[in-house]
Amino acid sequence: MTILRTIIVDDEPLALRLLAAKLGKLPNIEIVAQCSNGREAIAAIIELTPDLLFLDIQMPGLTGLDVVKQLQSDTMPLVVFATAYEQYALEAFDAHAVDYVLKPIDDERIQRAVARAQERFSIRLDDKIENKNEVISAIAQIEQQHEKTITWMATDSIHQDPQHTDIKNRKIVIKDRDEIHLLKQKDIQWIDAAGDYVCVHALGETHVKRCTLKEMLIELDDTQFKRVHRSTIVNLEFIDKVIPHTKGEFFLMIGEHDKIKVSRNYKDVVKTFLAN
Amino acid sequence: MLGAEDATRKEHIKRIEAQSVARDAKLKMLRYQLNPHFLCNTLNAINSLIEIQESEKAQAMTVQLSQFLRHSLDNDPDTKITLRDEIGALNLYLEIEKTRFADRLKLDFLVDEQAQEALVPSLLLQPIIENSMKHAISKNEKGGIIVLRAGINQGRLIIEISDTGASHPHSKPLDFRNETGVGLENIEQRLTVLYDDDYQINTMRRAEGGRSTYINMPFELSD
Repeated sequence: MTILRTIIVDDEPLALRLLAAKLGKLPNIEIVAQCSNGREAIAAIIELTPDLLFLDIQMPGLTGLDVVKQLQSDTMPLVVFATAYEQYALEAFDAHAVDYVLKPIDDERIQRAVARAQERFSIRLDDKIENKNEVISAIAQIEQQHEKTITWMATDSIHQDPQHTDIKNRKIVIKDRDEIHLLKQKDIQWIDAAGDYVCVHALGETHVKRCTLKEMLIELDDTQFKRVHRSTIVNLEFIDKVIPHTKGEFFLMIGEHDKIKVSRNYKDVVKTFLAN
Repeated sequence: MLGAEDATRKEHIKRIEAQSVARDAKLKMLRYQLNPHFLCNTLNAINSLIEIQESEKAQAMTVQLSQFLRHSLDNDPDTKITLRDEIGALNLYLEIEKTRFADRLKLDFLVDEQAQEALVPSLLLQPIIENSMKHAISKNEKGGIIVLRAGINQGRLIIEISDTGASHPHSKPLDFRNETGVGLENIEQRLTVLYDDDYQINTMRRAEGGRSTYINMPFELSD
């Protein structure tokens, strides 16, 4: 039996204590941090790289769904959502095999969620990308249900003739609920892929776009955007700090809040960047 | 012969339709009062108090919840109660929320002596306070303050309720059903039934963040 290093997140102090008490009784759970909002959760997850996350949905600032969107897919823990009455989300969670516990939480459901997490953990081990895949698919479905516009596909572009538009100035089309954003490449800080979707992190927000990382790379200026992990691309412009980590890995500080892991396989990208 | 039968049938259908509309309206109100998100979270908090062996607090919260539910169910929205009683019921609800949110919820209520006895439709203020909980206190990492002021001015009852808003005023609401609308619409409908157009209710965004609701209505006392 593997011990799952677990972070629990809920903005209500009593709900957090209940979760801690219930999980604390299980032999295969070690609670490594307790957080009371999404911002704290993201910092703790990057710092402690837990295996499992129990995440409340309704929270001030960043919601539980925002937390998942903002986390780098290459370092994403397993997620179990805790929900009081977010019915609109449950259908999407069921459809994409995302686990959740209902409040008031009960022992049986918690034990089942932990057993499932244990099982997934032993199959996936280092392949954390799968963790974000399933949750992002569910989030995309939730956001899609409230979309008023027609679906835009990955290949959609807004009359951008590649012959006449310099690749640097080409914009990225993002469709969010009832709005369509045109993101300038220079505003995009980093991008990570999760299954059929990519998460585009720009100007303090995370946009979910239906397309592959490969398709994304074709649209991006390759002198500016570099792959630093299997599923993560960063805009070199935004690297504020490079922090060496163990086993030849690095962390990149992107702006004030985002900390991106660079895998050993891509460390040359960082070395070249530092040399210039 | 056939014509008369037809008319009776039409009459019957009409009656059923009317009953259905009335039942729908009542269900909507009931559903609004028994906010499932609030109920599930409150029961979860009570569970937590039991788990950590705070049995007295768990009991207090159970009793507050029962009293609040009883008040919501027993009081017909068309009956009038004193502002003192209305605020008493609000406090049942707010005591529960204080236990859930701990020091994130602060209250600053001030009601003039004269206004205490003023009659208001039962559950008039509940939706406004719930909105503040939902869109301000629970959406702010640091919590916030709900301020209530009530007084009599030129023979009118004036009530003002404001909150300090969310921590990220531009963040998209997670709940896509616009319940702010439902709550206030409900209040307006009830005020129109009771006072015709002799009332005023406005809600506005405050420059410093948060919302403020202003009500101006007839000052009535019980006989």
